[in-house]
Amino acid sequence: MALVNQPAGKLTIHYRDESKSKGSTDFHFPYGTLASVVFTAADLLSAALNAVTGCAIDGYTVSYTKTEDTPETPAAGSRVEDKGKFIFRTSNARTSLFSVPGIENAVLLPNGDVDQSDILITALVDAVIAGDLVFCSADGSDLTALLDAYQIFSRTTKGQRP
Amino acid sequence: MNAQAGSTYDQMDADATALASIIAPVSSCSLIRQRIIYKFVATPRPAADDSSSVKRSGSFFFETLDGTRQTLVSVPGILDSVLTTEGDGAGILIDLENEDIQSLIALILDLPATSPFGHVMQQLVTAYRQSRA
Repeated sequence: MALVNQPAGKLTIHYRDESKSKGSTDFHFPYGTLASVVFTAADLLSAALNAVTGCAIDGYTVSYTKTEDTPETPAAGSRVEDKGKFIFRTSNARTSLFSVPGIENAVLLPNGDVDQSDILITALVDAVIAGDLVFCSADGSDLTALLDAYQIFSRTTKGQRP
Repeated sequence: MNAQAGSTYDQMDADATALASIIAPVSSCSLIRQRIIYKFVATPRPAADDSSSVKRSGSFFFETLDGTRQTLVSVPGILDSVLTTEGDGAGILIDLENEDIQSLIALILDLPATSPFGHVMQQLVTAYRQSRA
């Protein structure tokens, strides 16, 4: 059981036309290619593409994906729509959040709050705010404290039906 | 999760794996995938040409030297000025003598572009305009 690289990384160039419709160009590259090398290539490709398209190029994304080769069997009845929502205070007095799909009932209180005294939850919060991990808010601010955490149910999409 | 600007791939990869191991006990779902995404946004946003359409795209087919593996690169909003104007395929085929097209193809091969399965593309097979309704 391990996360294994996909054979190739992916570079996606994003376009917008006159009607504001979006389009994209996907390139794949050897997974071992350094991100900095891909960034340089992406800048050059964006300029070259700009010369042959009438659309505006809004930017690009570079992604590296790893896939679990032997995923564990999900718990019976688990649903990704049943989430734990964690809201953090950031160092610039804003908030940042993430959610955990299939939140375990064992870490929830009867009123739907996440039990912040649960040892698994304190470990998670400590890792995010006090650990040495590189994670931050979307504007780059540090996550400094857990503001709130509770259960939410997101709308079921067609692909999420059991 | 967002990562601090300047974080290396190795840092993000290791930290994502560490975080996933901490999240796993509080989720009844199983982990199937981990993805690191770098995002770049043009600022200010450029304007699109009048009458440009993402539905009108240039399709560039590349292949390995032995021709056994192919991949497609699609360019939305391909300009009419890079299409051939004479002979069979006029207005449909992409002009491979056009300097901008030649530069683009060279950059794609230099990347090197691969198929989604990692096969390195080594030559262009064909290129033409495609339109969706």
